[in-house]
Amino acid sequence: MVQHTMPPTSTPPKPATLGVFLLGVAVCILGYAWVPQMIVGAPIEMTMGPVQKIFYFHVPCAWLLMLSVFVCAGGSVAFLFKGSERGDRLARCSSELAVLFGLCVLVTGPLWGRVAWGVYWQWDARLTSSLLLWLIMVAYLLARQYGGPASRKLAAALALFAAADVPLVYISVHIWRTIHPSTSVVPTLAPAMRAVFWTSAALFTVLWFVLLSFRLRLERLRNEVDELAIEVEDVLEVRMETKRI
Amino acid sequence: MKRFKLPTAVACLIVLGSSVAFAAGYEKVPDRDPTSIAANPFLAGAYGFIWVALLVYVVIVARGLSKASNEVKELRRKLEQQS
Repeated sequence: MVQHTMPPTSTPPKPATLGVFLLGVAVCILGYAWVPQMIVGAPIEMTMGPVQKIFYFHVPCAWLLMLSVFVCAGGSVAFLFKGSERGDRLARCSSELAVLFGLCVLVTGPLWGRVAWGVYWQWDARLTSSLLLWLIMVAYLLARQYGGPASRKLAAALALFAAADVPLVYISVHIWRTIHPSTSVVPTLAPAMRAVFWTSAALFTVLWFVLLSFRLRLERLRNEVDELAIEVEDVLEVRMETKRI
Repeated sequence: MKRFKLPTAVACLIVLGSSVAFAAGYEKVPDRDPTSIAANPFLAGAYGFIWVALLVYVVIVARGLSKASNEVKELRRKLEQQS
């Protein structure tokens, strides 16, 4: 007779974790109301005019794209070399955030470029390598969504390719002649602009952590559904066999 | 057929976006100061896009959470009834 127990993966969040999560949500709501006012009040840049203010959310989104790709690659390494299921879950969740923030970068950048450069897009090194990074992450998600269980290792390898592209994206403005501003812009910002930029970057980072924890909880619940469904099927099978005997 | 809808839509978006970007990249820029283009619609569009994208993502994850929670409850109930 097979013994059946309830799966141990009951997942009510701990009070401390819930507290941190709620604090993060509160910070995001405050940021949602406060950052636009800060951006409107920030000084207007001399050569580009008001459109330069896209910088205050374009750059944080780019930083979060890179962070998401590194977290995805870290989780994938843990899955590939140690078989870590947690690593795999983390990789999947952060890959969604990479696609989300990458999309924000690829939409806001051309809008800024249209005013500053006169065109939406140039096939220069920074823009092309960023697009490539985003496409690799889209490929990761599609492989995970439609490739079945066997695609997990293939997707993990894709995440490593994406992580290898991140340094290339960052240093591309120094290696090749590009139309995109270099990485020295942030350290040389005027103090009034610097305060707005770092506040925006910090709030976007808190938002990233909140979204990741939100998404990880969904992934854990889905795993629990799968385990429970198998458990229910096993119980049904045992019952049928007992009846037959 | 249904499972191919999303990849097809993503592929179409990528092809369409790349075509528009490719065409725009080689378009002759008129001889005028680019900063003379009204910046506010672009600024508002960029900011609005980010918040709409984030909101859509949050709604999708929240709906998934609610569905998964209900499924867990239902399966636990079934398991308790049968054991």
